[in-house]
Amino acid sequence: MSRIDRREFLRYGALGASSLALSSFPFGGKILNFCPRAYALELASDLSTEEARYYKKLKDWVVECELCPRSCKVADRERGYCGVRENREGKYFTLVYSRPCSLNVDPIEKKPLFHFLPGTTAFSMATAGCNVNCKFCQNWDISQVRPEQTRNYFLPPEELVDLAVRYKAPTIAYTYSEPIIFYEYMYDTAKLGHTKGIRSVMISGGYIKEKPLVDLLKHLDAVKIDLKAFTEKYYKEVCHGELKPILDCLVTLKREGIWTEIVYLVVPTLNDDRREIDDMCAWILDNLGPDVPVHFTRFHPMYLLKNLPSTPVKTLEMARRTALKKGLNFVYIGNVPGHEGENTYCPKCGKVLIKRTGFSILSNDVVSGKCKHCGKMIPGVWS
Amino acid sequence: MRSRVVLVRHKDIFDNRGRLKRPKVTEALDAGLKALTGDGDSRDSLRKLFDASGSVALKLNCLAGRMLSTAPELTFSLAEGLHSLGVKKSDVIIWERTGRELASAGYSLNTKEGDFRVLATDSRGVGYSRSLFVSGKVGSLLSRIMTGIADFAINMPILKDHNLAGLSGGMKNYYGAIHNPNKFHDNNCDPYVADVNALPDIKNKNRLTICDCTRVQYHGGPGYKPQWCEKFGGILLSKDPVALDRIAYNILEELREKHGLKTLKEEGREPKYIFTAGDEEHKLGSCSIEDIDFVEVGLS
Repeated sequence: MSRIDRREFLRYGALGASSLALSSFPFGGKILNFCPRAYALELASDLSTEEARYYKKLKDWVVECELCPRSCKVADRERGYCGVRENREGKYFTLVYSRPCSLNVDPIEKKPLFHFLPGTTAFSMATAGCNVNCKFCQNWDISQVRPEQTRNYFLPPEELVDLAVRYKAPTIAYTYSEPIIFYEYMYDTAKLGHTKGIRSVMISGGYIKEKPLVDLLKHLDAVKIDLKAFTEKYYKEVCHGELKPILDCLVTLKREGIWTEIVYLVVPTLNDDRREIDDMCAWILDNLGPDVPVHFTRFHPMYLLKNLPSTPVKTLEMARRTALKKGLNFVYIGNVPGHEGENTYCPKCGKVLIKRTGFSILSNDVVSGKCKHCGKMIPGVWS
Repeated sequence: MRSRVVLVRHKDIFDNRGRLKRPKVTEALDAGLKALTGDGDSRDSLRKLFDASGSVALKLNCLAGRMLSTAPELTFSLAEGLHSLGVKKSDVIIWERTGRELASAGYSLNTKEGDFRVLATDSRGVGYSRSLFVSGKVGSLLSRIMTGIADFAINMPILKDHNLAGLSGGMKNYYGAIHNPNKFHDNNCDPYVADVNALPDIKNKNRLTICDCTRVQYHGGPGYKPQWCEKFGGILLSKDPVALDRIAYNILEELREKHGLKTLKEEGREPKYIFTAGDEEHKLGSCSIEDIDFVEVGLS
């Protein structure tokens, strides 16, 4: 990975002086080499003025956002909670359309998606902004800031798809921050990607209203949802969000038939109670079925939650046991490289199907979507 | 200890084209400072608040454009006053969140040596702190103007209605110092405004609030809506940011009543944060009218 240097910056038409970027931009130089029409944006006035697609106009130039359940009522000159949508004289704009601040080529396992084209790469991108504020956020330096505070590139959907093709990534992953807040950009990119054989996956907290979600799913191929806890109290106090809309989102994903995996970040003392995990697994079983993969991942102190220790591995193992006992078929442990809980096991014959360590695949015995040993169909997207 | 809030109203502060008259603004500011501290000379009033060898940041509010932002006439009157005490011109920092907002309100960015500095947090080399500051429910990066560049601060907001906070006056103006104000508008910004103002770099550096009430937006804010904007012709001053907002709340409600509007409480927009700022946990100032000496000065 290389940083963009001054020469490249000037060569490709950068607009101004040094920026106030909070986040690094490790991929910048390569992007410019591969996609010469992309260029760095340095001024706040370079933000997008693409009209938002889900909002209604109220009286006196106030608008109500209809994208996420927060339903922000935003007065003229103000922004929604996400910080990337602004009301200008009664018209609502997304400021981050075609303005990514983070780009990388990642293993799909990093998302994590374990039952979606294992061993392939995902061209991964994000803009600034998020519609919740989780105290444990790992990427807060891009998710909890405004787009003026990140170094952004101008990269319209066609350029983004083109980059995925050039990097031979079969998938674009909308990830790192919260893709719902750059909905229009994601939607247009995903739609265009399909015309060029590039798939799209959304890595999200799932805090979105049903209508925009259903509209978007026509152009997505998989979704990973962070189910951050199974209590409203946690969502309110730790994430500044709500649980119920996330459960509604998961039910919608199931109904619409899109491949979905769930991540549950286990935070010591806050959401690691066995009963809570048991209740959540029961809900998943009843509403989504036994085949949705659930990843229990390890928390590390970060952002506003630096006072707690990393999750003990035995707590993750307890969560995994609880889920398996409840009847879920594919339960994983994340952020513990080399742990046996990273592997996929056949729910029928019990043999290891996909052996992993970290984000690497060591062996894969899923053949044509079936267990090589017993022939059981393994749910997922394998080709 | 009782808090004092001074309201100066000048009947002759606008010319017949609705523009502010700079000499009259200066006169009102001078009268207000003297009434605030009881001094015979406004320079003595300021001298009590600042060490002239330090730098002083004047936080403006320029969100709503030229018609509803801290007036340059008031800002530069104060800047000249500070300079007359011995504060170097380049140590007077007139600032706002973005250069775009400053420009929309009639200010030009200026970093010339020997002149008053006009800066924005998004100006080259300024930016936000590298570390997060946490206060109550707020966790934010702070403008480096507050954390490093300035030794003291004067808050120079305007008085306006706000569709979520209820009132945007002194304390709410420091939302412009943090990097993530959009996260803190729920529950009428309570307790977030109080939490932001309890951040040490704000609480300890801010010595004075001078609220531009020459025009007051009593409804439809925070953007400029001429149909609900009154030429009030006033300046509100206090060393106590909570007391100033408490009086500002009364002024806003009086204007709303005069124009036949519901109270902010009836509209579900009571600025509860004022009372939170004055509570035992925050102790940022006096929120009770009984504890405030409200002094009105009329000029003509």
